[in-house]
Amino acid sequence: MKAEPVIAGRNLSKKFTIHHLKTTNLKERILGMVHRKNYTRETFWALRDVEFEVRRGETLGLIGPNGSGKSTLLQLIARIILPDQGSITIDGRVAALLELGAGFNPDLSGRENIFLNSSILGFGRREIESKLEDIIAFSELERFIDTPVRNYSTGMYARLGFSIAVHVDPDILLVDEVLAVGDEAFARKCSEKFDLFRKREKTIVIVTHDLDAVERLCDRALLLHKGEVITLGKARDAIIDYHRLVARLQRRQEKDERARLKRQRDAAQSSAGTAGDGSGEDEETAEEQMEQVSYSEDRSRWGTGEVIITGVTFHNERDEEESDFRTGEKLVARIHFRAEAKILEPVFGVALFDRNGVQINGPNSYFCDYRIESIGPGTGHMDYIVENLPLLTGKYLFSAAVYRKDLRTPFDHHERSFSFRVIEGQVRERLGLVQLDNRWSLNSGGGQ
Amino acid sequence: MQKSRLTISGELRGLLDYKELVRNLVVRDLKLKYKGSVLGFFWSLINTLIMLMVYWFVFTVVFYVDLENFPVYFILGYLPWNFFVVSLMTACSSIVDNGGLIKKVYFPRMIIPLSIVLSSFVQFLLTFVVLLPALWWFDIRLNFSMVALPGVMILHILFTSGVCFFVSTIYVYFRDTKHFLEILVTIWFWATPIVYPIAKVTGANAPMVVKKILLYNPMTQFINAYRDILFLSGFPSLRRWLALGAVTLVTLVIGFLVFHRQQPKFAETL
Repeated sequence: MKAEPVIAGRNLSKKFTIHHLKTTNLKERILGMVHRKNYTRETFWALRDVEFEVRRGETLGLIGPNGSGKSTLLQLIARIILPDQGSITIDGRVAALLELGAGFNPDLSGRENIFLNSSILGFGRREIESKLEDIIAFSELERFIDTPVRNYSTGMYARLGFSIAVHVDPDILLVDEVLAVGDEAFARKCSEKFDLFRKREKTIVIVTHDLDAVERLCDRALLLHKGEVITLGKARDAIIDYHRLVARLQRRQEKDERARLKRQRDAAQSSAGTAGDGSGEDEETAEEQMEQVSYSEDRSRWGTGEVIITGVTFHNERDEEESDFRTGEKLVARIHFRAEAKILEPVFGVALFDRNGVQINGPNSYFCDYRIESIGPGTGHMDYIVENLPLLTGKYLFSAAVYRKDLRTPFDHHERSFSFRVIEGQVRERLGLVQLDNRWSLNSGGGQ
Repeated sequence: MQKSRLTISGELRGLLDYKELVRNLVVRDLKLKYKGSVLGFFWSLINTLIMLMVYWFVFTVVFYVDLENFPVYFILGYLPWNFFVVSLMTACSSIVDNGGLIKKVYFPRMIIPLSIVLSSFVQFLLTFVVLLPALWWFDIRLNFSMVALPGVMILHILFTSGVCFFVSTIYVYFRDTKHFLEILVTIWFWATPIVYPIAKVTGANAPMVVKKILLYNPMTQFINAYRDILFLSGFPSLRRWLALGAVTLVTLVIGFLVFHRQQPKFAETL
């Protein structure tokens, strides 16, 4: 079923002008006109030739690093700003949650603000009156609805704002980083509401840094970087591209940093009269290799490349390489790596998935309190050992990664790139994924 | 399908679609203005009466000007003027004051200055109604010419809105506007026959320039229209109607167009 697009952007571009000397009063402006030098402007394109469509009933995630243009795009969809080039067409009523409770007046009561806020969103009094009770009930603010909102906590404020926005029944809902509202119970209600929206063929556009939420909620995702579309496709693909983009940016930053330090060092050395050593050469080749890793077309791999995982092999209890295992056997996943230089305190991580992509576990050496002082330069391997494999029959996918000690910078991450099978053995359990360490115990009341 | 760029008719339709918001904003303004004050609405009444007494004192005791029914004359000038100035000064910075909202939610931006004009009009009207019985005391009877009053008021609202659209747009780009307006308003106050009788100035020995300024001052025309009806108990002349209609039309069109042109840039300029 292919529905018609409700939001369509055609080579959408948005330019911003930055005034480097902020001139807001007349005197400065006149002076600025006279001697032009004291006020320079710089234009930059917040969005460039963005081409996208959102169909009815679809949930689209907008992701990208800070300053990539996500929020600008959302503002364009909300008609808060207009494009400089290209066009955007929107079909339906839009409710924008760019800020929860935007336009709340602190001196008015919650109830009064419900009316004010929903009329800001463009909804009439009668519509709201019929939903007033629902809005109040959903926000869980029955007791406080007639007190001025200035006395509300941040959470109460956000809950009321969210409750209004989801009850005004828009065709298109725009959400900017507001998914985390209130406690866990409220968060669950919110995501139920989202599900309901999706079921009712509403269109949702979400801007968020929470990639888990994107994967969970969005059908598709749009990855932006410096105002340009990097990826528009399945949420999963866009997220992986995002990881790779971040890794690349980080590497570039580090390269710049190293270059800066090197320049400083060189400057210091040359002023001291000694010649620089030739260690820079090796560094270059390593850099090139890293570039290759992350520019490869392989979506399942990303990282800075300072450590490279050359492969993963699975071994049985006799340390023989093996691809089929039985439930209850010993399994050793051997992660082979190569490091170009000495790396301090790296962290190894693995993850297991079933054939449907359901994650079974995802431990890392750091959380298992296995501290590594350093690895490299050179090659080596790290073993992840499972003494009694609890998995039931089936094919399992395996991810392996090595990260910097900050646990956030991937040196090399292979997502579900390896696999092994669990074949039938003595175990007779069939349903589900794992065999737990369990037993049965009858305590019959009927007597015997 | 909504195109991103807004036409003039789209703008007007938008205002109609959001009339609920206008209403809510006016109600909010009025509620907040008097919330927490004991005398509430009576403050604006007291303010008017104090101003009346001050000017009465100055003119009859200090300068010894002979004025018939000065209180009525004064109130009919001061209240319409006050409505205009309060709207102007509040609306001037209104777009900037509501920057947070403008950057987060789409709605016709014109609603912001418009709701300010309307809420000060409501206050003007309330004060007016309360002070109306005083007319009786000064021997001015209700008469048929009062049917013209709503017409004058509507033109007055539209004129004020036009000016407010204009200044609130300019203020987004030049924050000096408010300081400039404060000075302008002071001069304008004295260039309008509010506290002095127009006959004193339009007498034979007054300079031509002064007469011209008074005559071409739109506020003079508005205030005179109110006085025609309630002070002189007669219809404003056709000439006056034409003058009011023309000045309102020109001001409103210019204000509307300037605002309409600039409003897409508000969110990114703020």
